[in-house]
Amino acid sequence: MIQSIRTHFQDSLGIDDEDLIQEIYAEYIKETKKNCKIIGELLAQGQNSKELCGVIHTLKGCILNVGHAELEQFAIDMNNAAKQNDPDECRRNFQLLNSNYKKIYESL
Amino acid sequence: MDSANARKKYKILMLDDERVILLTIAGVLRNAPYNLVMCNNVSEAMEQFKQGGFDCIISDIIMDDIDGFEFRGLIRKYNARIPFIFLSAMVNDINNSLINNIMSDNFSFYLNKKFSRDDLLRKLEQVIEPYRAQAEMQQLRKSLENQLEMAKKVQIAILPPIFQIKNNYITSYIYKPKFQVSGDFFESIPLNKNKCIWVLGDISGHGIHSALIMSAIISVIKETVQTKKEYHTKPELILKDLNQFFRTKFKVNHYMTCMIAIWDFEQKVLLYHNAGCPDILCFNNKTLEKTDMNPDHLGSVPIGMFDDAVYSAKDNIKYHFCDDDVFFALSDGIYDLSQSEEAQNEENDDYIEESFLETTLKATLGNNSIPQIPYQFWDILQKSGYHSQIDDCTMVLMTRNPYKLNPNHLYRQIYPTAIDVDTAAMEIGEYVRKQFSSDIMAEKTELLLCEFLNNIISHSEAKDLDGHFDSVALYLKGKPTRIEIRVWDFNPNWKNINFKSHNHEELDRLFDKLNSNGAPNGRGVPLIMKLSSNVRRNFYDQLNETIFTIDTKKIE
Repeated sequence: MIQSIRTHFQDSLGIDDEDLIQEIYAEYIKETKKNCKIIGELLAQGQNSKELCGVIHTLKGCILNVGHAELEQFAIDMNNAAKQNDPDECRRNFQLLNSNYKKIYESL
Repeated sequence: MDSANARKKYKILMLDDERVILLTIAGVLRNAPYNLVMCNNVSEAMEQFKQGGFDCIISDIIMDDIDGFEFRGLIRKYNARIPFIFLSAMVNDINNSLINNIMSDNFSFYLNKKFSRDDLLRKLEQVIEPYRAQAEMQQLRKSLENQLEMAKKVQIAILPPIFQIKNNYITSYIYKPKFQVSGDFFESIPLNKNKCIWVLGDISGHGIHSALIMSAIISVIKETVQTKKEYHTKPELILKDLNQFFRTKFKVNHYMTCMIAIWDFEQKVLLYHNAGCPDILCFNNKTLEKTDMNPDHLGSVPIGMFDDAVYSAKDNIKYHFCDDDVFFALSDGIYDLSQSEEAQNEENDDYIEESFLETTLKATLGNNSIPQIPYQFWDILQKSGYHSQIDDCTMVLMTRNPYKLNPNHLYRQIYPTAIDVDTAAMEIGEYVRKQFSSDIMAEKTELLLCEFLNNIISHSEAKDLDGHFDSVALYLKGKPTRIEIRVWDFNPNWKNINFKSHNHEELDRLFDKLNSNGAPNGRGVPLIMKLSSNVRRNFYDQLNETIFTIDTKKIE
């Protein structure tokens, strides 16, 4: 498990049930993967739609909620870029977030 | 309920379409005293909410099927105050639109999605405790209001009937608590066919404690009067006993003004002792002149002030009254009526002038509508702007029943039972037959009274009415060709009936509608209109007055 998330669960949220931590974590990984895929597709289509903003907002919420510190700033910047209708900046931050996510995920 | 659930004091509804967030919140609250109900769509959330018992709602703002503010709008239709905590990753709310939206509701709060356990628990405690306290307060208030409503009904049941029409005398009174219940009290106890005792009083303060003391005092007075015959000519002894009772039972902080008046209608003597009440006013009903019955200002201190208070026979007032005298006892609440709301703080001196009160009383005299006088008096005060009440208000009237002097003036009290209505209608019909030697007027009177009184009483019984709906009084005067009957009642259902402005069919339908509550159906207004040559109606505060004229013309 990504260490920053475990630390957040245990120290900040006070969750000590290992089964629950694993359940939330699995859900987070699944959702993040799904949302990254959708964001990638929408950006590839050159869209900066309401749908894109919505998915980015959801992704950001999950990242902040589970305390995935390595991705937080990318998610925030990507969300701001989407809100300001800046597809290039949005795409750049998404690539950074996605590669970091993959890198961390693969290292586990 | 297991011990874990027993500790879950508060119930929270959470709506978020992200399972990760729901699980995180559930994880944080697992060992805290919160019972969390999680929903991932709005219809499920609404269904859960309608089952009730929630203390707080946590909701995401941006969701697939609805936004959090729309969800709040749906909840507010059912509960205007339940606290809402909006979870949002609102890192950069550039134009404050989210914050403004949250703050547009006084019971909405914000929590960042990146929260700690302490943040969440602190926020929940911060919003739920005041909500719970408020809800408990409201429940308590509701319960108190229900109890007060019941206390009001009990108090009305303790009081004597509004109208008492006896062979020798007629009393009528109006009773207006400042709140639901009152510390004013009045009791009229017959001693024999020629004598009765009046007890009037005012417990200090108003509201529940005064009303409770009032109930106790009435019981004591009744017992004293019934068991101690020697007190029937000694009002000072009744007051002395009351003082002892008051000092023993209520000790400090309370006192009461009280007046004991003993009426002897054979000797035409009023003997009374006043312990702090406004003095009885006496007017002649024909000349309208006022008589000062107590020029030496005799009287004693209120009851309950001192253990050694003296209530002596030398402070009794004795007055030989005449047949036309009308007596009024007003509680001090009436003297404290004001036109101004500022009078509520008791620092305002904009109270009613005594001269205005006397002028108003005189304005109600001179006719034969004795039972309505307290209500007519109150109505004039209200219409003159004296509607700001800082204390309980009571006004009692006493006069001789004029029937003995002039049998053309008949008063009768009617009890709210079908039997008494029938008896009264027959008796009064028979009275008309003998008094005016007219079979037609007798039959018309009997039929009309049966019809009209049955309607009044049926509708009174058909609904749980607030007040003295069981008091009905009647007055009849006339000559061989024409009689006038006045009926006074408190049935609010009759207020809307105006015999002049409705046609017969409309009124008949209205009666049918009123009768549909299960009361026996009357024959309706067309019959009443046929029996009487004229019908007029007046309203004085809660009192309805209906005046019928009946002549000797045959019914077609």
